[in-house]
Amino acid sequence: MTPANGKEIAWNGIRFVVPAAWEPGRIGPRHLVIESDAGPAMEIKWGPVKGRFSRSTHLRRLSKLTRTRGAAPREWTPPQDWLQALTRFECTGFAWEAGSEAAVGAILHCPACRTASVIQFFQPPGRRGAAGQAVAVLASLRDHRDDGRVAWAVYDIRALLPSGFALARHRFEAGRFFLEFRDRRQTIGLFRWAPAAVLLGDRDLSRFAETVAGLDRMEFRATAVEGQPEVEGRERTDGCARRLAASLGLRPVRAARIWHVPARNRILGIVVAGRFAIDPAVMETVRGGYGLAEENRPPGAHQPR
Amino acid sequence: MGWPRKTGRRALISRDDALGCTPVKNRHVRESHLESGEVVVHYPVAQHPWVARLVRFLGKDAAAPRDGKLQLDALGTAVWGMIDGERSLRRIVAAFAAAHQLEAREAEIAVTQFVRELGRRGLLGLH
Repeated sequence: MTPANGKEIAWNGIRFVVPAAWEPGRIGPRHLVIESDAGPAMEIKWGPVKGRFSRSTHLRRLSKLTRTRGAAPREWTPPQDWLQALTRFECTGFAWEAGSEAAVGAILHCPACRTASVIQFFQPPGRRGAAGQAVAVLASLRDHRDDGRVAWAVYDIRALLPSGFALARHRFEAGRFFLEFRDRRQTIGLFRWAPAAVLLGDRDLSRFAETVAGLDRMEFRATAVEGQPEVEGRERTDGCARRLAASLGLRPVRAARIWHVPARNRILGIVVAGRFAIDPAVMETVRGGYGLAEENRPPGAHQPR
Repeated sequence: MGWPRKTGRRALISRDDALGCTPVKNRHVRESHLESGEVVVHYPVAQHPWVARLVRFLGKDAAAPRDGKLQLDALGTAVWGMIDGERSLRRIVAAFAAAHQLEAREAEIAVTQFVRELGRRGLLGLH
């Protein structure tokens, strides 16, 4: 399975490709539950390993988590095709059953980036579960990149950000997606609104940015990138007190880009905020890496490496 | 931690079964259209039973039900227009997603939240 015939999901360092009909059902900072039409299909948790990786410690931790639900995970030998798909990782298979639920999975450790992951595929007894798709998903699984950037791809949005920015908040609501990332000095907000035709109504993008996007006290300048209407916003600097406060870092400074993708009926937005003037290069980097799936994507940005 | 998933909070019907249900408008509901095309739903609001008992206790006639109003936005109007008592939620979600180029999952959440809210107010039922 490749992004061409499946759907790539990238979140906080982890990337993999799932069947096109699967969608994230639960999203945590280092936890994803992916659902198919039939219900939960797979689940993955991951995190950095401090010190030496111990598979027995991870198995004990897994046992503790499943005991309260009446499931007792047992070591399970993954089939050969799993092992071939997971050659980059140290792999320990496990399986559990509890009532009408069952799953097979693996505890993985990447020696290159020292990330441990627990991935499981649900397979209710007597029903065709997600385990049949496991090999293709596992073959596409990656937990680090070599270019110092972190890919983010859920639902229809894709972003490629510098690795120094950590996820601070995220919200996926019908019609409005919001992700916020922070490093020591700046905050990056990524927005996606839909359906654009209804949200814009007879407003232009500047008015939309001021009202719906909540970017009041900013002034907007219309631009167009690749034929798509776009506005660029910067903090109003009228008034001596305001200018003085901004230059002393007493007042946060924001820069924004909002653009309309008419062909997809979406509006995308980036807001970069910090205590001092926003480096235009940061905005350009984020703008270059943020877009809709199959839209404005840097070549190879989301291919597994 | 959902590992494995908690069983105590399981929904009464599965998502698949819920999407197979057909929403039906309350027959006491009327609708009017604004110039903007948006729909205003008028529905009877019954007196609170406690208030009704108090009125009866005071020897007054029970007041006629009030007329409640709910103005739908453009998206709500679109979904309301698709509720014809025959189309299932799944078909409404698919039509809504196609009309607004939305992701299937996003359209499903938007439509089911809307239907749930109208159901809570007694404007819709599911069969």
